[in-house]
Amino acid sequence: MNSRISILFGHFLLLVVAQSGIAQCDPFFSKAFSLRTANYDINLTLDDQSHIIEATQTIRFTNQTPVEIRQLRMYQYLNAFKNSESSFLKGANHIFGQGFTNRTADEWGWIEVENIKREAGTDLSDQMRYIQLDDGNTADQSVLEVLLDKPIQPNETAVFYLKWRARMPKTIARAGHSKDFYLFCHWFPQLGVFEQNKSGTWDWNCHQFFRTTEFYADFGVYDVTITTDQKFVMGASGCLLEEKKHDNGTVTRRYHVEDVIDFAWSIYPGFTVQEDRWKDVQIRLLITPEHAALGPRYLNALKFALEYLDQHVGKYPYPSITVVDPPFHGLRSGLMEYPTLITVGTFYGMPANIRITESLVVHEFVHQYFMGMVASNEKEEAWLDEGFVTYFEDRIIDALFGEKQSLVDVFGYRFDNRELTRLEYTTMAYPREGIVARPGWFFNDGNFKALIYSKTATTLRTVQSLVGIKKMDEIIQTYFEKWKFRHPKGQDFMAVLKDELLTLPDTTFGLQVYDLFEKSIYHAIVLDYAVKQISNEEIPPSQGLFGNQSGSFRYQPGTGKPSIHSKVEIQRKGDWVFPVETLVTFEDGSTQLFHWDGKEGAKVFEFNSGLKVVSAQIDPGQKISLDIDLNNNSMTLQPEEAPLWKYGAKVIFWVQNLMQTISFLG
Amino acid sequence: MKQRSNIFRTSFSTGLRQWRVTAMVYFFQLCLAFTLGMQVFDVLKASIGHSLELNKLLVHYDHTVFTDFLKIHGASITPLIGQMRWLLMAWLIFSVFINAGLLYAAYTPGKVSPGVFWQGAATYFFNFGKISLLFLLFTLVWSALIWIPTLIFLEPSLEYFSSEKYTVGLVLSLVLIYSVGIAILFLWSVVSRALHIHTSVSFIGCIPNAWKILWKNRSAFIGLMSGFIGLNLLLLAVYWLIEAFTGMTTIPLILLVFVIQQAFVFFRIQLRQMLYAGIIQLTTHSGDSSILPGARD
Repeated sequence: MNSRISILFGHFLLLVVAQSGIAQCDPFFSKAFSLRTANYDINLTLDDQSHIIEATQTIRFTNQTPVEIRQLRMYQYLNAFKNSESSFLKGANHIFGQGFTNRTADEWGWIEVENIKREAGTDLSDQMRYIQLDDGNTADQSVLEVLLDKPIQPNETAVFYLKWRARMPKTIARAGHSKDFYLFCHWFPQLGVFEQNKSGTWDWNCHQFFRTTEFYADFGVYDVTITTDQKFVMGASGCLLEEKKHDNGTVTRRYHVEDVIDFAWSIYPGFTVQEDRWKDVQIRLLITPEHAALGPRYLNALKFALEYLDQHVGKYPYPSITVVDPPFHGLRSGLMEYPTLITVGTFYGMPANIRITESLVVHEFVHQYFMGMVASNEKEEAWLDEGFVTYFEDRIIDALFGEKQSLVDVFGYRFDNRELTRLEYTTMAYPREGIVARPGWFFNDGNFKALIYSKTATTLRTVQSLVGIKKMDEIIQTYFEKWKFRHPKGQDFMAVLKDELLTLPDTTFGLQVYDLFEKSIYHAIVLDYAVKQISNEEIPPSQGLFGNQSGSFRYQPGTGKPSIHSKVEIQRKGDWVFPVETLVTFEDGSTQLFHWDGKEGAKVFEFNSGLKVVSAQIDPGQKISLDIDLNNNSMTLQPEEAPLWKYGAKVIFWVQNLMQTISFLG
Repeated sequence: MKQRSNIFRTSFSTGLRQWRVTAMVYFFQLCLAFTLGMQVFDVLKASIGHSLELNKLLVHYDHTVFTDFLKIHGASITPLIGQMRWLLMAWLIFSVFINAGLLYAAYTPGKVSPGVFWQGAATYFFNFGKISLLFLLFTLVWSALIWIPTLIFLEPSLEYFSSEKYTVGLVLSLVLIYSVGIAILFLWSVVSRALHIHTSVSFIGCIPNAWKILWKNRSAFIGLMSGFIGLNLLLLAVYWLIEAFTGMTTIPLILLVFVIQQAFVFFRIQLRQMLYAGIIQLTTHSGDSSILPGARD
């Protein structure tokens, strides 16, 4: 009943505000997509002189579990930027390559819940304490626990009223302000997820804030009313419902968004707004004037991504998407994803044939699906969102700009998104460094991206190449439809993958592909096959004495045509076993394809066909992108020297030019 | 205006007539660059020469092939990079010798035999070496003046300004200022050497006089230098277009582009000789006896 009233009220509001032209999106869904476990109404005022937020907040939390809940646990992530001893900052002197020390007292950030009351009026303020269950760092205040006066029973909805204050830090990582640009993320007291853990116990999943972790929260409805100075242009998750200017120079804006796991917003006086639409989705790009010329590039890539994901994954159900392009001094707030709001980043005058601008907006948008809707635990299993997102980023950018040139195409130096992703993994100094399926805090800055993003995406690409893009889309669509607006674990995806692969006509092959995926994510091994050698030996024709009795031996001189005995030796150089195909080409151009299970360390194919082998190629279709060296997958006895001459000539030419330039100094 | 076009014409004709001298310099360069090019050829051949992946490089640059090669065989390229560093260092010293020969040839009007080049190179090598060292020092100071503050303030400037376009503008302006400074230092250095050949005054004495000549004829020198920079850029653009148009996808096309590349390198040396001829002409015809004491007629 309540939801119906709110829907009606929302539609009424829309009618009113449509007159002023500020609302072009309807945030109210006719039916809930999620369980709407944790719902937030927040009313806040920002003082942009002191960077302080004063807020009141109502949390409506429904216990969807079969057990009673005796305490709340909330993220207080702004406290990660309170001092250098937080678990986020401890041990680091740089974040995103920039120092964060030498700050004045008012450049550090914090959040403080002043009081919390339950619906009946019980004040729980003295039941609050910071907890540090992940690392025991008592200086860390990123998780707040509130002991309840009485448990929340299964199916009961409990309402809590909070009054809190926070100061936005000078940006260290995403949240904060850089001059008068602000990004508000992880900015309010937000509940963790009460769920069954691996041991089967029901408990809060509410981790401390670490450098390599970001999100995990329940779905809900957010209604956020924000008062700021009128000078700011604002973008936020969801739709703008109301805007009211006040005589004191402030403005109050109300935003509403449903079935999301978070709410973020951003303000900056210098933003210009570029608007567009894709079907029923309002696209709003907040962009700095110096980047305005790049606006169409963002918008075109974004609309292409919307269309692509609609066709290959599923429907984007939200009425809006807001893209925030921060000023360069605020770039540390860029390249991040929040429900229906993403932050991107570019540089003044970015050339059109360097498509980082497009790849970043596509990457962040794909997060609306993986993490936004399929809300896996980004802290514990980041591969489920970052890996999937990178895989689709590669697909989308390569589809948009063409393979082998989609990302960079400058004066003949060219590569695509997929190549870069694979190389981020294969060029790791030590690809056996660790398994992918680990919580974020077990990674360091060096291996996080290579394993979480790139190895996962390359694995998905390999699966796609092996089973075909149609089947791959079916796998992803099944996973998306089954787990959207829920919290899947890695094993849930593995189950979908296995079920889908078992529908292939060749179930043995399906299980082999499943095994490949499982090994890639849950084991630290390396895949590398190589052609070791090709040899062709001439065997002279039969000769000598033949017969059974010495008197009647028949002498055969051996004058006929010699036969050819050929060998192709292939090796498994890595410790990852996967069956491979080898294409052997003979001197007359004929070919034969051989299968090898890869279980032994090496395999020799022998031929007595009378034809010489000229080349051999393992995995001729290059389906297995996970192979860490593709150059050694083939060998030919008739090598083409033209490429060597081409690059030899180029080296000579450029060395000559270097010498010529140097001689101006002599 | 007429005088300037005369200078251009004379410097062109001198440069063209002395093609045998520039061909000799080109040949030295080619021989040295060949040693590196062939080593790269051999390393590629030994490492991925028998891979079918190599064929991909014929049509286009292939990032995967190159990166997989560098990851596995990078160690075989590292010594070549070290070798190139030493080669360039040695070439820098050898350039003093070559510049002496080229300038002396340019000073000698008309068609000259290669013997003139060797004579000039041998005669002026040590004195030009001193001038060269001094101007290298000036170049280092100029580079430090421009780039050390830039490096220090680059990151803070991105934080300080409301937009990175101001930093981009500043850096581009600095690149322009730096390039102008380098061009002036180059001209000053060459005029000093030309003066040394022309007047036999000690190299220390030549440097302030060279500055006076440079300043007095600044518009002519700027015009000359700009013209030759423009021609070099034009040559580069033409080369890019030809390479992009032809590609290097077959042995005949590789051969064709190689010939074009070498012609490009040769023309660059030829242009340098023309520039030297122009500078010498401007230097020796400055007409101020107080600047040119003891000038040889």
